[in-house]
Amino acid sequence: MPPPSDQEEHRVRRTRPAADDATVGAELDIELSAGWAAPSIARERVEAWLRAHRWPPAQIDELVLAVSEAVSNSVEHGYRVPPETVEPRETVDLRIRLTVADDGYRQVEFVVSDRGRWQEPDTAASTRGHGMLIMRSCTDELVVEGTPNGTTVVLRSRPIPPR
Amino acid sequence: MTVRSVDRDASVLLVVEGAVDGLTAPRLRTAVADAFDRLDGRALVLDLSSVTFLGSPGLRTLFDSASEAVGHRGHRPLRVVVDHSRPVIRPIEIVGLDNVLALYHDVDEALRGDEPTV
Repeated sequence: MPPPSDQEEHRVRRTRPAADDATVGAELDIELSAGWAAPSIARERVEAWLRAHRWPPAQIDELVLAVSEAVSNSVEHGYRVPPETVEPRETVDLRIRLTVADDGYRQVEFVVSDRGRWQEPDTAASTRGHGMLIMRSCTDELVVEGTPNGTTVVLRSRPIPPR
Repeated sequence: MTVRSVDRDASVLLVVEGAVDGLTAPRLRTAVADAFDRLDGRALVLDLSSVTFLGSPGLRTLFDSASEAVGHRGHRPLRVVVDHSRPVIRPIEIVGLDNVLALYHDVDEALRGDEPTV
């Protein structure tokens, strides 16, 4: 392994898409109805997918938590869905991609996107502050891209040693 | 998520089970507010040892409940029971709630108001 400061570049440069697993694909796209059930549905799907890919259990907990926060943000701050609304018309897209580096280390990338507009920070924004803190703490990299037409959150997992 | 409320002479115990997220946190908030209203000097203990998931809306509820316990009701720090399972203790530690709550691993210790054990 190169020294830590070089690892990021190493991975980015040499990462290639993973070949399909025998039982579960390396890619998964899910469209979620942007209601308050969306985070729990996302948690179930992400956990099942990571288990199928034999991800380490402690890492599964971290990533399930991070993805749940991203989806929760879209529902609460992107679309401002009132509490206990389960089936609004808006959707949140969740994209999952597995990559394997040449050295066999695996990473998963989650892209959570909405077409809402996150509120500017205010005194009631502390829930989102916690969400951001959780997403950052549970991932290798967090990218948030906000535009007037929607917000995209990219969560990249810590690299997992070869199986 | 379910919340079971156990009233005793010296305490009100809220036993929470399942996932506390944006869908369910409002119900936890209501349950805690109801408990505060009838405490009448008794201790309030939240047992989260059977919680399977705790997200930021649940953390917000715990923060607000802790603030209310100390700031408005004159109580000591809110007593919360957690087990060693990461889905609960990990988010609590990430956002620093462990500095605000009195955390226990054991319901009886929490009910007695022993020194926090976590």
